[in-house]
Amino acid sequence: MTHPLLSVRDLHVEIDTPRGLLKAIRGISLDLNAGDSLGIVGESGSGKSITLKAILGLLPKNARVTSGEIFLDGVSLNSLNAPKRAELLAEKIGIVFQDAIAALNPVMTVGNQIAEVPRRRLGWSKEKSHQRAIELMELVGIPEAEARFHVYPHQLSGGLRQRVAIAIALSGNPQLIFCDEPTTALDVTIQAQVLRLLMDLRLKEKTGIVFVTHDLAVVNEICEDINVMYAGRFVESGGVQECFQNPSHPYAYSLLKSAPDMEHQVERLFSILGEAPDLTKAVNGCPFAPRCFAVTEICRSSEPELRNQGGPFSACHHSSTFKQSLGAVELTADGGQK
Amino acid sequence: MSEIILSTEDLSKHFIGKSSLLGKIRGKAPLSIPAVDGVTIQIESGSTVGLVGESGCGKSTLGRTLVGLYPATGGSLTLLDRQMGIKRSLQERRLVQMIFQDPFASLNPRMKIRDMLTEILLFHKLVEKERVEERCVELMNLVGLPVNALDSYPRQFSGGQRQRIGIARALALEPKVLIADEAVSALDVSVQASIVNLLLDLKRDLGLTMLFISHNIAIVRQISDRIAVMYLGRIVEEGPTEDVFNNPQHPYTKLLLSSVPKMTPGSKLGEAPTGELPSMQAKYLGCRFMSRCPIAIDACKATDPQLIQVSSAGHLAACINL
Repeated sequence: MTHPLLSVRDLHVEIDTPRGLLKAIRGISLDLNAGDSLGIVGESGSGKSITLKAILGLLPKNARVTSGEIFLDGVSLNSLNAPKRAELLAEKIGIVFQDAIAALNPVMTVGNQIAEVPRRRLGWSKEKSHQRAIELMELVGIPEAEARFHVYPHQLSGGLRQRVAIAIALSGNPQLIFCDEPTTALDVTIQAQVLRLLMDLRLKEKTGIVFVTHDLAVVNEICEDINVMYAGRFVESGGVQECFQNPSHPYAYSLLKSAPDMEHQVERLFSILGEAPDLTKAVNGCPFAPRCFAVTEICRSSEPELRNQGGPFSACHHSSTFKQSLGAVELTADGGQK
Repeated sequence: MSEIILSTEDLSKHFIGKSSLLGKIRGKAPLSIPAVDGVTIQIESGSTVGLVGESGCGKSTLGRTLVGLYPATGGSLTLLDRQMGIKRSLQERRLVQMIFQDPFASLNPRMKIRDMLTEILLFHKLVEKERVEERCVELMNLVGLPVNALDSYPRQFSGGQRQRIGIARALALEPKVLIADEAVSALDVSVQASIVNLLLDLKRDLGLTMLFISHNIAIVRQISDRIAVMYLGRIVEEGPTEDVFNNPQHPYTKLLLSSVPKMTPGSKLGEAPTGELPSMQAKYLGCRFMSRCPIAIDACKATDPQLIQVSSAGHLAACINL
C-alpha cells in the first residue's frame, strides 16, 4: 500500500495539426497521493490541459499518447482494456472544466445530472441517488438545493453552474479531482467562493486536487505543490512556498516577476521577451533558451532534465547561478517584442 | 497637473428594451436596465484612473459612454470644458479613444496596418498626405513594433502585438484621453506585463490621461494613480490607489480586495462577498450592496448613500455606516 494514488511515468503526447506533428507533451512524470494538492501552471499552449486529458483518456481524435505509463492506484492503465480503464478512471477521478455551460447537459435538470452518476455507476435506487444529489448540492453551497434540483443549467449563474459541475465531479466519491482552469471565467468574488469550496472539500473529504491554471496567485492560495510547465515539460517542481520564495528555473522566476501582485506596487513589471517555441519543430537545447536572460552555450546544445539541484527540482543548467545574470537584465527586460 | 480633463455629473446610461405589442396595448413600460446610474467622476489631466468591479456592474458601459459609443441617457459629460452632446463633432470624437479587449475582433482582418492608420490619419486631416508615411513609422516606434509590421495583416501578429496595433491606432488620433477596456485581460501573463509597461511609458512620455477598466485588480494597482470601485451602475468608492488598497472604506471594496488571490507565500485567501451580483432591473431605494453587505442595518434600506469624503483628502466612499 505504498504506491501513490496516481503515478505518471515519462508521458509523451503528439497532436496532428495542419502544420505538422506537434509534440505537445515531451516526457512528464508526476506522483500524487490522496489529499495532495498540485498546481500546474504555464502559459497558453504549454500543454497543461493536454496533460489532464491524456491521463483521463479524453484526448481529441487528432492527439495520441505515444509513450509513457500511467498507474492509477497501482494499476497500469496500459494493461487494461478500454471499458475497464474508463471504469477505473471514473471511479477514482472527477473533473471540473473551465466552461461549465459547455460541460453540462443543457436539456437535463442539474439534479438529474448529479444523480446520474450514483444511479448508473453505483446502481443506487432513484430515491437514494436523488437524496445524494441534494446532499452534494448542499455540500457545494448551492442555496435552496431542493428547489434547484429541477432547474436547467441555463437558469443558473456562472458561479452556481461551476458549483453544479463540482457536485457532479464529486458524485462518484473520487479520490482525485482534476480542475482545468475552473475559475478563469468567473469574477474574482465568485472565484474566491469556489476556491474556498475546493479547499474545504480537500480538508473534509480528503480529496486530492490537481489544479491547472495560468494564475500563479490562485496556486499560491490553494495548492501545496507546484509544477511549472513550459513547452510540454515540467521545468520546475516543488513546494509552492519554496518555489515562490526561491524559484530555481529562470522561466519560473520570470513568470513570478511578471505577475502583478495586488499587495505590492512595482515600478515596472518584468516581462519575458519573445514567444514560446513552435513544438511542431524539433527542440534543440533548452526550449526556454531563446527567451532566457541567463543563457549560455550549453543551453543551446543540450536540453536539461528536471532534477534535484537543491531547492525545488529544476530543469536548468544554471539553476543555482542564473540569478547572478539578472543585474544586466533588469535594464533591458521590458523591451518590446520583435 | 491638476486640470480636470474629463468629468461627469450624475451620468447615466439606461438600456431600454423593446416592448411587445401586447405590452404597448396594456401600456406597460418597456424594460429598462440602468447599466450606469448616476456616476460622477473627475479625471485629472495626465493621471490614470483604474475602474474595477464585477462583470455586469456597468464598467464597460461607462467606458463606452465616455467615448461616445453609447449616447448617455442622463446627466452631463464635460470634456476640456466643453459639454458633450449626443452627437459629437469630428474634433470631439478624436479626443477620447478606446483600446478594446479583443485585439483581433477590433482590427479589420482585410486591411494592412499601414492602410488602417493612413485611413484615420487622412480622414481626421491630422497630417499632410506626404507626411503620412513618416507618421506611421513614428507610431510603430512608439508602440515598439518593427516598421515592416506596417505591411502585414492583423492575423500575422501574436496577441500582444495585435494589442500594440490597437494602441497605435488609438494614438494615431492624438487623443487627450485613452480608455482601455480590459486591454490586457486576454493576454498571457508575460505578454500582459509588457503591454502594461508600454502603457506606463506612453503615459509618462506623452502625458496621456487614461481610464483603465479591468476586473484584474492586481493589474489595476500597478497602473493607476486613482481607483474607482463600481457596483451595480454606481461608483461606491474612489480615491488615490494606495489609500484605497491600504485603507478601503466601503464594505464592498473591503470584500472585493480580500477576495483577490495574493502572491505572498503562505497567504490565506480572505473573505469574499457572499452571493452574486443582484439584478440591475430591480429598483433600489436604499443601498444597492445591502443584500450582500455584512454590516447592513435597517437604515440602509431607505437611504441612498452618497459619495462622501472619508479619511484622507480625495478619498470618497458611499456608505452610511462610515
